[in-house]
Order: sequence, then C-alpha cells, then structure tokens
Amino acid sequence: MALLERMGVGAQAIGIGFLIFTISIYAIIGWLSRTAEVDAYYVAGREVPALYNGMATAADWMSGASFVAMAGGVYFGGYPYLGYIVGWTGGYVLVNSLLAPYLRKFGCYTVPDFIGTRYGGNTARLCAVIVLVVASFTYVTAQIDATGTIAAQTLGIPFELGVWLGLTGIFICSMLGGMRGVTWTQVAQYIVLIIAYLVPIIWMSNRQDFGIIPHFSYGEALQRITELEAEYGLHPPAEAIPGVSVLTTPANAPEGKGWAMVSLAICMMAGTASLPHILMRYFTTPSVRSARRSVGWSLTFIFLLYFSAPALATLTKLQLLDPNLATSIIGKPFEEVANLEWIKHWSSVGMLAVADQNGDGILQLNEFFMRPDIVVLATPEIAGLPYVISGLVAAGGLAAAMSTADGLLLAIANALSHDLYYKIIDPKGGYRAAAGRRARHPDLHRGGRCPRGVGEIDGHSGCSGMGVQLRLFRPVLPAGARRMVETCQHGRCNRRHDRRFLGRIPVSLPGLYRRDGTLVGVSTISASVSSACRSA
Amino acid sequence: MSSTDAGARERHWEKTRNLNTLVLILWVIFAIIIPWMASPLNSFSFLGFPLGYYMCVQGSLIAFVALIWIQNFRQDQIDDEYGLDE
Repeated sequence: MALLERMGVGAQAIGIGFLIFTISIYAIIGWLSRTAEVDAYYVAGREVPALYNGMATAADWMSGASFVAMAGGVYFGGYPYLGYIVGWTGGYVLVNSLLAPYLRKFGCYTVPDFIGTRYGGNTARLCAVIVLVVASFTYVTAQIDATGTIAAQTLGIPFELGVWLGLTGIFICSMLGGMRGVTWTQVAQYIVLIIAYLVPIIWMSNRQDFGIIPHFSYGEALQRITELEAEYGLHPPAEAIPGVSVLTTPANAPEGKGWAMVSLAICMMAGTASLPHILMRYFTTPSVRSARRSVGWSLTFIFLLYFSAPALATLTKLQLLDPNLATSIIGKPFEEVANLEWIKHWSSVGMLAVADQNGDGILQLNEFFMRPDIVVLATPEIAGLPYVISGLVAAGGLAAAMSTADGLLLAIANALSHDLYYKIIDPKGGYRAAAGRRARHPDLHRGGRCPRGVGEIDGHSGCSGMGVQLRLFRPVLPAGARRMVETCQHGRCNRRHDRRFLGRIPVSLPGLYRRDGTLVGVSTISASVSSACRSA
Repeated sequence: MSSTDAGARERHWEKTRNLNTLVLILWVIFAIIIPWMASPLNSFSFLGFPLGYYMCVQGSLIAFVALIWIQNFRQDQIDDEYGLDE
C-alpha cells in the first residue's frame, strides 16, 4: 500500500484497498475455518490455546469505543475520563479471580445456561436471556454504526452500504465458522487493530523526540500541555457549534474529581466482569487452567492498547497546541489554518469546525471545534503522516468494531438458540431437545454430534433474513451448512416451534440501521417473520 | 470420596480463597484507593509524570496485569500441590 502511495495512487484508492483487503482476510479466515461440527460451532471445540483465546478476547472486548473514541475521550475529558481506562482494565482482575475459572469448570455453553442451572429454573434463565439480548443488542447497534461510519468515511460510500459491507464480512465469518471462525477472525482483527493503533503513536513520538516507545517518556509532553493550557486559557466557545466541542477540561486536574472518577471506574469494572460475549470466550479453552491463563493474555493484549491511548491523546494534543511544532494550529493565522487539507476534509463531513468567533484573525483554542471520536482517525492527518497510515487506522477501527459485533451476535444467537428455544420453549422436542439436555455434560459433546447451536441458528437465519443470499451461495457452501439450508428449505424444521423461532433471530439487524440512528425495528422484524414463514 | 480427599479439597479451597482475598484487596488498592488519592499523589513525580496521573494511565494497569499473572502462577502451584487440576 505504501508503495502504491509512492506511485501516486489516490488517497481514495488506498483507503478502499485497505478496507477491502482486511475485510476479505476476515472472510477468508471464516471460510477456512468453516465447520459442520456443532461442537466447533458452539465453543470452538474447546480447544483454543490460551494465547490465541487471549487475543480473540482482546479483539472481542475492544470495540469501536476503545479504538476510536477512548483517546478522544482522554483528549477532551481530561482526568475524570481516565476512570474508563482504569475501569475497563481492572474489571479483568474480577473476571480472573471470581468468574472465568469457575464458569469454565462448570462446563456450560452460555451465560444464561450457567445462571439457569446454578439458580435453578427457567425464570432465572429467561431473565438472563432478556438481560443478555437487550444489553448485547444495544451494544451491537453501536458497533455496526461505527462500522458503517468508518467504511463510509474512508470509502466515500453511503452509510447504509458501509453497514452492509461490514455485515457481509461478519456474516460470512460467523455463518460458516461459528465460534471457531469467529475466534480466528478475531485473532487476525486483534493483530490489525493493535498495529493500526501503535504505528501512528510511534511515528509521532519520533517526530516529537520522545523516543521509539513514548509511553514512559511523555511525562514531559504532559507538563508542556499544562503550561500551554494555562497560556491559551481553557474558555468555553463564544458561540457553541452543535455536534462538535472545544477543549475546556485540563489534561491533569484531579482536584475534587476523585470520587466521580472512582465511581465511574467501579461501574466499568462491574460491567467488564459481566459482559456475556467476553465470558463466553472462556468456555472455549481446553481446561480451567488455560481459561485462567487466557484471562492473563487477554488483559496483556488489552493493556497494550489501553496504556497507549493516553499517550496518543497527549501527543496529538501537543501536535495541535505546541507552537514549536510545524503541525500546530492554535495561535496561527485563521486563514492559513482553515485552508489546511485535513481541516477542510473533516469540516466537509461536519466532524470538525474552525470559526474565528472573536474576529481577531488568529485561531484561538476555543475556536477549534472537533468531535471527540475523530481524534484517533484524524491523528495521522493532523500529524502529517502519509495517507497510508490513515488507511491503516481506518482498517484498525473497522477491525475493532467488527470483532465486537461478531462476538455480540454470537452471544445473542447462542442465548436464543440454546437457552430460549431448547431450554425454555421446546424442552421436550425430541432429538434436538435431547441433544440440548446433553449440553449440561460437555464431555458428551466431544465425541457425539449434537445438532444445535450457532451453525443451526445461522442455518435458520438462512431461511429468514438471508434466505436469498444463502440460496445463491448454496453451491459453494460446505456440506454441513448446505445440509442446514436444505433442512430448512425442505421442511425438516417445518415444525410449528421452528417456524415461530425463525422470527426471533437477530439476522434482521442490517435492516435496523438508519443514518440518523433511529431503529426501524418493528417493521423489519415483522417483515423478517413473514419472510421466515414463507421460506419455511 | 474418602475423608482425606475431602480434607485435601477443604485445604485446597482454603488456600484458593485466601489467594483470592489477597488479590481482591490489592485490586481495591490499585483500582479504587489510588485513583481516589490522585490529587495528593500528584505532588510526587515519577518518570517525569505527576505520580497520580501516572498511576491512572499506566501504573494501575501494570499492576492489574501483574496481579492476574501472579495469581494464576500461584493458583497453578496450589492446584498441583493437591493434584486438583481442573
């Protein structure tokens, strides 16, 4: 890609190349790990090594918010925002000491499965399913929104098309490979996202003389920012511009904010320790010991990004503020700044604004407006790095959002198929339900085939939302998936329950998004129910 | 299960619980008390950072990673001692 840039290929082409290249890698991995074994679909055969499970968990955990928005939050939110950083990492100590080893020991398949069995009865199970679905659904909305935004930004395509592009990658990988496909895709996504996050930081650090690894030496940058903030003054803007904000919070002023920050951190830690799509990952390891070890790896990999985020925020802020650096804009003549390429680019999409509100012809700190969540995406351009880095960062953001969406969709699908359908709606429904009961004894699954799980739910969803596409794919589907499609089409799942079940599948997601973020759920769901009944 | 087995399990669980308690106490210190105390800590300097800020952006995080690895190392030892892997 860098070579292409040198050869004069346009920015647009490089962006497209990067996104297509990474999305197709994910799809290829999903294709290569396609499986008809339901055990592999559900818990990746319980044979994911701790190191790779750690990477996959890290990608699963670090969403668009961590990748795209966190450094921006530190940039604008100052000290209180650090509560997120402490909270999102500290939660893993709870996962490791109180949850993951015990959940793995229990040998269950899903979190509601654990709750239902531990506390007895379907009421507890149903509550867990509802909580899981509501929480994960909300969360996945944000991820798919982020996917669409990044794809639309980089490729210059409409938002809806961006959403579809990302979802295609997600579906190919989870439809064919289930948990196993998702695991290996997430490993690849982690590698992409961590490289994409670290490269701009290291590059900027070298330009600003903080050494190759800035993490332990940017204290000086922080001191300098504190001086500059005092010099420029952190005033609210004369006239606010909706959607974008100016910097008003000092980078380091914990006075009186201690409790606010700690309570935020506690919430984040409790939240981290209870996310079903994260806990689910620890069911995939071969043993309790490796489940623990993979929590260690998870946090190690997450830590790499999290301790870099404040460094990124600090160095970017210095790039903009410090008059000694060529990239600074504050205190420069207004005309000059407004004509900068990156200012024009981001202003044109409403993510950034400069306005000479006091009319002195100089850009003041409170006249530079920015949306907090573009800090990471815009940093390469702010720092004057080659465009290929911007493409890399966009690919990283996309990887972060897609990997989380993968995990969440899988968690929703597992809860619906395993807990809602097999355990609550149809516990006595013959062969399948018998297989469902065996789920409590995971060892039975190693040898025995057990036609349940994600593979099946994706087969089902083939009947509803994705019916047309699946039928087009049919000749190239692996035997197992083809069988599922045929099963659905030729009526072996034509029982009343199955038909009722089809309407509950989250595959109608892509239809739910609109650019303004409103959900058009009801109509889409009813449409998918009717199409489900038609194809079943 | 014989009585010695039950006794071994009891002792194993006791050691596991003590380890867990210790880890959680250290967790409270790094996750709650130190960030709370950031203001007074900022008067100290570490690697050119104000100490309170440093703990929130790196120090506590490093402590969490270390806590998990050390706990797992110790827990493996306890498991091996009683032959209770899994």
